[in-house]
Amino acid sequence: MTTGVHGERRTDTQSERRGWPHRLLAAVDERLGIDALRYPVPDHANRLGWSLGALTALSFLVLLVTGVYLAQFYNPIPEAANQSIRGLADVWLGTFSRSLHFWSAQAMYVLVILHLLRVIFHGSYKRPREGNYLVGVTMFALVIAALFTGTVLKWDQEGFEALAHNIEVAELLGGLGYWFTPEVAGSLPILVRLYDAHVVIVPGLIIVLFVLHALLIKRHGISEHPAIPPAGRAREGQHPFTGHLGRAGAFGLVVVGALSIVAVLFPPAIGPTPVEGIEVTKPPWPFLWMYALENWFGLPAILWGGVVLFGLLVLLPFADRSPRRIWRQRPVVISATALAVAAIIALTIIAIVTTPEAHL
Amino acid sequence: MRAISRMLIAGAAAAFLTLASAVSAVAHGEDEVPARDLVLQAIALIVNQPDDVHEIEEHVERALDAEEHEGVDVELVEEAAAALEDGELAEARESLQTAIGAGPAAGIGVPEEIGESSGEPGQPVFAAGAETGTTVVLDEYEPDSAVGGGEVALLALSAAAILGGVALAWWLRPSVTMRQLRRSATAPGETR
Repeated sequence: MTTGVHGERRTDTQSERRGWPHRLLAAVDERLGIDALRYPVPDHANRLGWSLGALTALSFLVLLVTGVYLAQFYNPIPEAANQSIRGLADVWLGTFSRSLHFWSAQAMYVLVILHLLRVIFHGSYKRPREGNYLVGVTMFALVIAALFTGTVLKWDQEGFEALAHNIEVAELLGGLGYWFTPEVAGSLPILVRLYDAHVVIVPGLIIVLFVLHALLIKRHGISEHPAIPPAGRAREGQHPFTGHLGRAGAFGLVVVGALSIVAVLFPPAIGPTPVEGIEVTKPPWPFLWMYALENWFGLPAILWGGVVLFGLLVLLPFADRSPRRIWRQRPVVISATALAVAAIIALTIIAIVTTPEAHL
Repeated sequence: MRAISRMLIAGAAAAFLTLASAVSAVAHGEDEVPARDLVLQAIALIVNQPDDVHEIEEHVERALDAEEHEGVDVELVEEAAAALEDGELAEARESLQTAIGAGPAAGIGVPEEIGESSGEPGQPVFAAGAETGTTVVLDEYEPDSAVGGGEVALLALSAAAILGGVALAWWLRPSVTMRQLRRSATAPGETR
């Protein structure tokens, strides 16, 4: 006897009547319990807005695959790092893999922000999901860490200046920032340690937290749509989570296809080999809003900008404890979020139009 | 009383000397950058900010005025300064690169080293900590984005993935729209 989609029991005779793929699945399920993935998901979740987390995970998967391939050719020694990336031009699918890695990283950053905004907009961080929300915010921080370390790994002028700023900020933090300074292992290039962080520590932590995130989603269920009143939720259609994965996978195919086209047509450049003592570049666009703050208030503004943003994100579920989830009924949170997004966009535009300045 | 005043004078003198030496160190801090580093910075400025000729010239002048010229051919730096005055950036760059013992380099070509190692004799030195390890400033590299046979295949596969994804998303679409869901949720009876 085996267990079916919604926990119903099937006899072995019933299984034998079905085709061999079903029998194979049943055999695998009996041993690995994959049927646990078929937990019920409400109808409203099978839409693009509610699949942004899955699309973020898919971008991460593309990054893992392309990253493993790129790691075969990347040399994390300062003398050779920049040159080894240029050498990808002579490797089968080397330029395409790096380009897809680059564009998938941009996509993951955008998708994780859209996912976070969707969660805030629908109040999905509210009880009992506060813990899972904080896991998600931590993953957002790790995505930024992956973007930063990836920028440094290019070991061009832009990457080196990003590193120099990070070291200065780490020194402002004293003991808390010690790991980010070269003093941890003076004889070892910091590039090697950041490479370790980029390929092992950061993705490893993301994977661990992703598993926790997914398990907590299963535990609490996908959050209710605030526009559907409680009386109607019981009548809302339910589908197995595997069906939800199928639709998210369809969206994912579109995303991967679009990223591949962009990767073929717009491969990213690699900047000049770095030289210490000059500041002639701006950071990559996800960090530009901090750069504008630095231009106005000096280096500590990078630190304070990040602390304020993540402080607000972490405090959100503790500050907004009302059960109301419809956005019109939460003017403070929605206005504050809109203000924060507008400020970050405005600062980014300001940074784009200003010329690079020396800060260190 | 006299002993106390002597101690105060000695203390004040020591404090003044300490302060004076600190101020002097700060004032001369820029001059302490070795000429080799300044030449490398000048090359990087030519590569990254070729329009900022004033900044490039300043670095070359500082390299010439530096106290430490180890590993730098000063004559070639002077040639570079003259080339800069004539507006010959490429010539200046070549002179500066040769002045610190590295051959001209551009694009992805591996530079040919013609100078001595920066390490101790017989002891190769690799970059450590936050050192750049840069001996030659390479130009920005733009990968070839021309569409050849391989790229056409990749584009075709990508387009197929998009079309397949759109078709699959349509096929797997929910049977009811959000509007219907909201409406049916408030209406009496079963949704489906």
